[in-house]
Amino acid sequence: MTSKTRWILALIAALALLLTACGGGDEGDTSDGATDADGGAEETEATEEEVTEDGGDGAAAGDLGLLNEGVITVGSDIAFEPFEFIQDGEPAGFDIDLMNEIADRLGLEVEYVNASFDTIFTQLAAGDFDAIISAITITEERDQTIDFTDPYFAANQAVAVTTDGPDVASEDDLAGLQVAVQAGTTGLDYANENFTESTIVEFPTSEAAFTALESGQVDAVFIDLPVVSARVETSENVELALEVDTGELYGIGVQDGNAALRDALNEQLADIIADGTYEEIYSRWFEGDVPEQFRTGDGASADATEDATE
Amino acid sequence: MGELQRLFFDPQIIWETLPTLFREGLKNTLLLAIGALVIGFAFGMVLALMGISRRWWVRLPAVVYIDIFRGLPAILTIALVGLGMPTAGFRPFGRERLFYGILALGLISTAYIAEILRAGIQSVDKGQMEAARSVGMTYMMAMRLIIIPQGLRRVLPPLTNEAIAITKDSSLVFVIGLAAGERELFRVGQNIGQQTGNFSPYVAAGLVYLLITIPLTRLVNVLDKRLREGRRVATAPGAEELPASVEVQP
Repeated sequence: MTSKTRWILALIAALALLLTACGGGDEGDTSDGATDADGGAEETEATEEEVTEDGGDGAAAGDLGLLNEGVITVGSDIAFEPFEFIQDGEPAGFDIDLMNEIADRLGLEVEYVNASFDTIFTQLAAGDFDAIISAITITEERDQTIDFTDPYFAANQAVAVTTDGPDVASEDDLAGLQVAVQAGTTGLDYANENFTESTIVEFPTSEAAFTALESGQVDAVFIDLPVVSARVETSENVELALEVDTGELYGIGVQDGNAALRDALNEQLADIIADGTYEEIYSRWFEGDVPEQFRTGDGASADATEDATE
Repeated sequence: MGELQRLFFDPQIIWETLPTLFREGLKNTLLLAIGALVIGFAFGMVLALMGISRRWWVRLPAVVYIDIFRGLPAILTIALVGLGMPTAGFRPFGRERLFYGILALGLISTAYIAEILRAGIQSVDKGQMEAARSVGMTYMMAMRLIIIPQGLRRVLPPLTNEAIAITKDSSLVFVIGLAAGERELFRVGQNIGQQTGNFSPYVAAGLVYLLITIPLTRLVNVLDKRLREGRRVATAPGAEELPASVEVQP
């Protein structure tokens, strides 16, 4: 064997290794929710009897207008920790756990499709997904193109800055600063309306916005409070500067007019809140008490609903 | 049919989008594309000359550079330059995001233009260099006065193609975050499209792209034709039956 052929063989072997490695990675990325359901299986057992009693399984038999029989195809912009993000190659987060639980009770498998938040509404309307769960604030404008379930989360917006960045104690302090927001979000709308003295910089993902903040390319990030809280925990130099009370509520989106699916989701959502499963999922991802409206009904304190992560 | 027309070709929405597209989008798209082409031409010429060197250690850096930047997806290079570089503490342009975009696109077009120029220079007959040297020119003089002008003329069509490609790639710069006023054509169209829930602004942005790229495409054809016919007129009668000697690599 000449040295040249040996080199070529080595190169082919290396390429083959690389390809198989990539193949493995891809499998993780395609985020098939079927394997994910295992995670949610534990807490389902306890409530299973109740669900059958409620006729929850019966709902699955009805026509929910799904793209694929027995599978609910869910669009999500999986880059929004702690609501949805990729953990060990699989979708994880509060939204994902909640959706898995709902689907489980409906006797459906979940398939997650990673989408860009920018285009998630048009994609849903175009029939790419059965539903979208992506920390989506319910707004009148969005309600015109899609339908929302009942709210499942209360979230405010927040301003994040770096520890050595400018002091932001009120919204007025943002004047003259460069504020990063995520394109297509209610945060962007709020910023455009209220931070008129600031330069609003749009990023396609929340992660890109925080990267720009940490590298000093912008002065602040304005985004949902739980996302800021999650970033503060993982990042050395990001801190929460200001909470902005916008009274926003998240809902799951379904195609306009698909009342069967919306009602089925609402029914399961109400059950999940009523039997305490919601609190259990909530405590996995957030510290502090569950907002009143999502508690089991008894023992609710008089606290306001806003302080989701305090 | 009416629904499709409303969704993609709503004349009123297109009309209302056009002013922003021209004032903001077109300006920034041209800034990105022209800036990148200037960088690409300057450094591409250096790399092209390095690439035809007889010394392997001069050729090597050029070959490595071209392989890397021609082989990477544009969006990856843009993210590395626009998001990665500042994070690493290297911020030559401060917060001027468009300049990071120009640099990234310039790095990419450098690789392509280097290959185009190398092909052009190498297509010039060896005898030209030999003749130039024999009348006492230095190598660099011969390159500058004899070889490069001839080679450059021949690669005008592929260079124009590169201008078209970079104009289109400039739409990827939105990944590094753009403020109002910095948005290029695609981002303007996308923004307004999302606000209206209608795709007509995308179509409007597309029309403005075509306004740049179609004339350039026509220019390529005219240049191409003139190059060929120009030769035919210049040579003796009967020479047109000879096969064209110029083979320009893309």
